[in-house]
Amino acid sequence: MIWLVALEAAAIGVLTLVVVALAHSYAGLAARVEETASPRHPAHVDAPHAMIPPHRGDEPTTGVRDLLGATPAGERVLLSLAPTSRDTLLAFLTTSCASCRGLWDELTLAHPSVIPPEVRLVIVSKGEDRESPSQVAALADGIGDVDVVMSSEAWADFDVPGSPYFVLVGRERGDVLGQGTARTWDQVMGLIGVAAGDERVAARTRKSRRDRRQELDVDRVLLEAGVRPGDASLYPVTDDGAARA
Amino acid sequence: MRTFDTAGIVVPVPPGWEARGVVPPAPAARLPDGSVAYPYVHLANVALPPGRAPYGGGVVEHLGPEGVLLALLEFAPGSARTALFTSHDAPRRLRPTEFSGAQLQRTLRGQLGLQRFFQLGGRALCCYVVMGGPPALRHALGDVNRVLTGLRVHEVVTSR
Amino acid sequence: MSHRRDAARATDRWVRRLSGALGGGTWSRRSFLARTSIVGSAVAMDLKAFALKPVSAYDAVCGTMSACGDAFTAFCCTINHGANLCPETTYVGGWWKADRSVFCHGAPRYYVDCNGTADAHWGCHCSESPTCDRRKVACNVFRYGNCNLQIANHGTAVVCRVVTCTPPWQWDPTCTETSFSDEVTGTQTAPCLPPPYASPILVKWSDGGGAGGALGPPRGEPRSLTDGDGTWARFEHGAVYDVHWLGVYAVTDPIWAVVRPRIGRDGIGFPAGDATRLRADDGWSQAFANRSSGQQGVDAEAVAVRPLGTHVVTGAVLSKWHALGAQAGLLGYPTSDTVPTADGLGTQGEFAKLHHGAVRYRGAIVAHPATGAHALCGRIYEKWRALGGEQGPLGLPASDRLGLGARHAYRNDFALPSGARVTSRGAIVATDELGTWGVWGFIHARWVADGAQHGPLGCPNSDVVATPDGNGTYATFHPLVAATATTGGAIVSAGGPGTWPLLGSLFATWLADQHGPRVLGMPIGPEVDKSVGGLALRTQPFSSGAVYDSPVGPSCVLYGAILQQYAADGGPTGSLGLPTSSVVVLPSGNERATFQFGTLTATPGGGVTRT
Repeated sequence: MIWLVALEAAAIGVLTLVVVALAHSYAGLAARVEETASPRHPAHVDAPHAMIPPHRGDEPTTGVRDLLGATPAGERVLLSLAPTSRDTLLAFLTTSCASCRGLWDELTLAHPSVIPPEVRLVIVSKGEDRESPSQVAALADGIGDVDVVMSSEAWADFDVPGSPYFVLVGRERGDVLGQGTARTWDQVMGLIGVAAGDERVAARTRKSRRDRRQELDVDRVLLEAGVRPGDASLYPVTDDGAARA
Repeated sequence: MRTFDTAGIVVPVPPGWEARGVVPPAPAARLPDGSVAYPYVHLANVALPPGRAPYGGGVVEHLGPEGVLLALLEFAPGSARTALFTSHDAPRRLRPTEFSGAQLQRTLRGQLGLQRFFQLGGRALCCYVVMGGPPALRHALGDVNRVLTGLRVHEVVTSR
Repeated sequence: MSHRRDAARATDRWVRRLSGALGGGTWSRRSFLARTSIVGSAVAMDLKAFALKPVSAYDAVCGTMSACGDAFTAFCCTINHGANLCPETTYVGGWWKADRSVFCHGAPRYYVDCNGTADAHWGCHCSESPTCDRRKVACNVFRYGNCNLQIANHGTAVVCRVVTCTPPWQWDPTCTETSFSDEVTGTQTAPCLPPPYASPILVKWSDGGGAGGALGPPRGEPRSLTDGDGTWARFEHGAVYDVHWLGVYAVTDPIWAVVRPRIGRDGIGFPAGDATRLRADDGWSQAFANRSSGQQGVDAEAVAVRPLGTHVVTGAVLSKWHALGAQAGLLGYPTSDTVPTADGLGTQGEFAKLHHGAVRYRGAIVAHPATGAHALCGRIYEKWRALGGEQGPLGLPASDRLGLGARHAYRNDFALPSGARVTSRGAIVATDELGTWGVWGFIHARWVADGAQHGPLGCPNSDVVATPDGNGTYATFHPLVAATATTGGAIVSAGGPGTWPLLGSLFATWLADQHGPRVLGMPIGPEVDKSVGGLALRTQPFSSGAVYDSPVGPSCVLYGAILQQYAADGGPTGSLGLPTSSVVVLPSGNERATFQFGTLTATPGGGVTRT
């Protein structure tokens, strides 16, 4: 009996590995097809489907303490990277990079829970010489109070090889604590966690995202059931029929 | 210190401070409702989020006791000829006693504020400073005065 | 304090009643939530957050940050007896806006700060309103800096906030268009303010101050306009009309009191704008438009001026008045409604130009198919009125005021219509030197044919009057400059072709004869000038005689048998030469006249002898 259970478990494990491998392969193929199908910027350096770890063991890069650029709405910005109260995650994204699209969309859906509060997220597109502000604005629309800055200068300052690309800047001296590329915000969180040497950050983020998904599910179910905002059933009701907080 | 230029309103930015300047799409361009927006610049020793109101709404709520917001706002050029903007003395060296808990657009507990209308280079301006609390007044007023001492305003670039 | 609370509660009730009535549904707790609470704005702006953060209906009515500790200032209607206006001892200190507001149907909602005046003592406190608007009063020493810039910064606090959907620079002319946006305040409100998505009529009423504004409290339920033009609601001092092809506008006293029965398709139409303050700040003006007229634009304008009352100008008279600069132009303000002319074919209205509140001069516009629309004013208008106006001999104005090239010298032409045709013309000329006089009929025609004011007669210095002998009419004239013995005079008419000018001394001679022996009669031809023997001779024939005027015999009047004999002798070129005297009657009864080369004596009943 025991050996049967062990055999079954082994078979399940093998099958699981096969499924994971197939899924991984399919995802890679899909990504390649997507990149090939992107007609507008065939030359840009797109991200591989696996995350590149940060520069562990290297001496941190220092010296970039601020970020000068403009928002898609035309606002001029000089953001301080150091000294500040939080580390800054610079997400170098463009409008044309196919792999960036999922990152933009996920931000729209689930921000602010994708990034822990200890880290300030700044999305950096290229400057007006390389990007259309209206296209950047269209992608940035709906992601709330995340900074979106157009700055070719920042791309040069941080030697960004392509998009998507992420740089975690330390709050005290502007050190580059880690950098690399990622396809999903989960991967980015891993990058942050490793770079900051703080697994709790990544764990908290995962927890936070689970909560958020649950909240969105509740929203969806309520709406599907016809319970809209303001519905009396959402509120406790007293004897005299008046709602009470 | 790095300098920051918003439509000819030029300020030095102390280390660790942020600056954001809003410039209308075209100088003195009319908005759809017929009103006219003019440039303004925000400086703070905290992160300046997008979506701030000209007098610091969206920032002042998160200043903390050591946080500072300094706003410089421009008005219609004709305003420079009025009593409200009659002062040619731009505020350069503010004293702690000039701040009060009432001089605020939003009287948030513990915060201290100051508002001055003046003209510089023929342009009508308002300087509005919010200190998150007494610690900010003690530690950051020097930076505020360095910004104001370095403030330069180019001759009128907007016209109506 | 009790009175204040009662007033605030009353306003809240009206807002809720009116919003409910305008919504057209029944009144329930849920519809109350939907209509009068912040729920609407929350749904529109942050649906998910609202769904998951239950609030009570009562708290929701005031929106976000309504507690005293929330750092914001109370709304004026909460502390100002329900009036959405700056209270006494405050002034409009500035404004900002929240864009895309559900309170203003997607347009910006404007917030106007009312700062305390320098000598007011409000004192920082929390609103004592029984409603949920417990925000601060007079605690924030702050100015937005875009209203009342003539007031220096006294460092006074913001007492309360007015909210409108009307741009502040239109709501209060002291405000500039300098724009500031603050979206955080977009979800703040009070029970005395319209709810999200309120009827445009309710928003309009609130923008005007609500119960404390010019319209006053609501009176009755909103009603539909006939013919599907829209809806309207009655208030104590006026009404608000929501006409789908015009917009939403209020009509208030004193204009309302006058135009009320005339508003509608059968009258002056519907308000096409809000009342605007007159330039001299002495009254109000409001435009009305009527689709049934088939015209675009304004069909009527009501003007209310303190010393003159409220009058409605319409149609062609209105167009003409505007072409002349309306109240700031030549005619000033209307002093009558536009009324039909006596023949019913045209329209006319009277006006007055004011100076420091007093009438400086009066005027009128008359529009008629036969003459067009023309204005007259001042002395010319008064003369026209004195001569009988449209019923008098001049008829209706046929030109605007024309300058005569001299200081204060003007002329208006007139025409007497019969149906759509003109049967006679005339003119009134006003000058400082000669006064103001009217000429018409054959005399006017002759004056115009002879060059009018540019001719030898110059300008009239009398009206048309009957000749002393009653056989005709005449009017006298005088040149404005350089009068001589051969300029000025009169035009004398016996009717039709018998109308001739008598220039200078010839008129004096004729007039003296009219007041004396009356031997000349009426002129029957024009003056003839010639040179006889090197001497200049002016002569003019009359029905009973003739006048000869020369250096050897000025103004000699010949008539009867002597004139016949003189003519038979060849007249001035005959053997007698030029007359050197008029005919005189001798004591014997004989008549005698002397000439250069002889004398003619006429014996009564006998012949004429030459000596």
